[in-house]
Amino acid sequence: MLEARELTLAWGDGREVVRDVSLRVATGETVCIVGRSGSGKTTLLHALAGLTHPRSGSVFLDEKDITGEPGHIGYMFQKDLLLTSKTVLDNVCLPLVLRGVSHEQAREKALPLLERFGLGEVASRWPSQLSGGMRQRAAFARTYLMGSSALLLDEPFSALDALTRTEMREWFLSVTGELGLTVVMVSHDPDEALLIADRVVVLVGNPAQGHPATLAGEIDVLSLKTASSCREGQTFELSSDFLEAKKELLELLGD
Amino acid sequence: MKRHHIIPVATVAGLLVLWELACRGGLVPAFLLPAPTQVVAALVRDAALIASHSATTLIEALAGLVVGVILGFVLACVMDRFEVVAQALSPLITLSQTVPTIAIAPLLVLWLGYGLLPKVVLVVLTTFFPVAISLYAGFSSVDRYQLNLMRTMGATTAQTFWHVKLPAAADQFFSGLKISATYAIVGAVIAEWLGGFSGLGVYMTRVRKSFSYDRMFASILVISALSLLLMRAVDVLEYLCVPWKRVERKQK
Repeated sequence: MLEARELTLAWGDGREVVRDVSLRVATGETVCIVGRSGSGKTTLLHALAGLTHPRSGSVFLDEKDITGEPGHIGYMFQKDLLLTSKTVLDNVCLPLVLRGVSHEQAREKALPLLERFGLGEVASRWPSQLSGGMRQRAAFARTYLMGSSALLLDEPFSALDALTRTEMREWFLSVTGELGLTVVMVSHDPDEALLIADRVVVLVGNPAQGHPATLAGEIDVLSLKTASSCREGQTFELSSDFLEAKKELLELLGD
Repeated sequence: MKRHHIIPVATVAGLLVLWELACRGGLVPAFLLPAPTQVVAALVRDAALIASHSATTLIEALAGLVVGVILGFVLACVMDRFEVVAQALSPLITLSQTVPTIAIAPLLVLWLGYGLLPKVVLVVLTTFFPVAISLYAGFSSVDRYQLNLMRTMGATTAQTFWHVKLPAAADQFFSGLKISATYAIVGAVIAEWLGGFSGLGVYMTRVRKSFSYDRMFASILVISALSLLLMRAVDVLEYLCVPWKRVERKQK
């Protein structure tokens, strides 16, 4: 379980970005943080990853205090950040190699995962030879191989075209379900958030103008998905519950 | 032969023909500017002697280049690791390159004698700079998100250097190395001009004193050839060490 307790974050110049944010993500749950551009979503994710020290508050992973300590949670950035100097396989192996696993053992462990992610045939290629969707899948495989019990994803599909984004979303849902991952994802797209997440939390504020972001509310999407699937027998995306949830989400965002 | 090869070859061939015609037609006195054919004849005539002098120059240049590259590499790494060192050394390194090589060479001969050492030291002084500066720029240009990614994976400073910084700076390193390679031969020749017993610079000084301008041009030709050879060697090294760039270039 990943938990943020009363996190307050600030920029280097002292201005507050996020104020008193508490968040609890259960094991196997996918939580999506939605907010406008510049509302501090990425800063919050950085703090959860231990990349920045909060001004106050703490982050716990499975009851262990990991505040300001990177290396405990897998983090997939907006850009895939595949190293151009390594093949796809070696990129995916990197977290294992960094932990001292031999290259051979790391490759043995990574190859089945690449096969599972549909990247088996391109394992020996360079990142520049992959499509955008393939690169994102490779980056996700690398994040997964960090072996942490929770993953942080910062708008992982934002750089993709609409069609690939839809494909990737479906792929992501099947993989996270299959692997039982605990995920905190950031998005500024309400539709994407509702389709992917079990729960959506809304971050509202404008730190650049002196209004630190706070949590405005949350929507329990999982129970809506379960209800609509039982009642209407159709995909959540086409259900009236989806439209209701979207309306509520936009209201929370202040639209 | 491809078009991008034909154009430069044809240009050089055309200039050589013009040069030959200008000399043979008497437009330029032969003692001032020998014809290309006379230069080639001098090269063939003195081949053994030039080869022996070239060997000395090449040894000095290579020894100096290797030490210069190591020095440049170490400096760039230290400057990247410790910002205060970068702030302290940057002006000094730049200042060291504003002093003309020709002004340092006599001092080195005075301090270190007429042997190999002053030549090697001069080559080191001229070759470390391009490597140090280009490599340091390469290290500094690494995407900060890549560095953050390594932090999230719990990488140590050494691991980040090895997996991210070094490969990312490879392009700039080899650009600097190519410049250093050309400086190496020229640096060795300049050092030889000002004192020594062997080397292309010594050979040039001797033939200049005897007004053998055809042999003078022959040695210039050899100096250019050696510089090109070293640059080509750097290209091969880059080809072997940076395989991912080949793919990226092909795609472009």
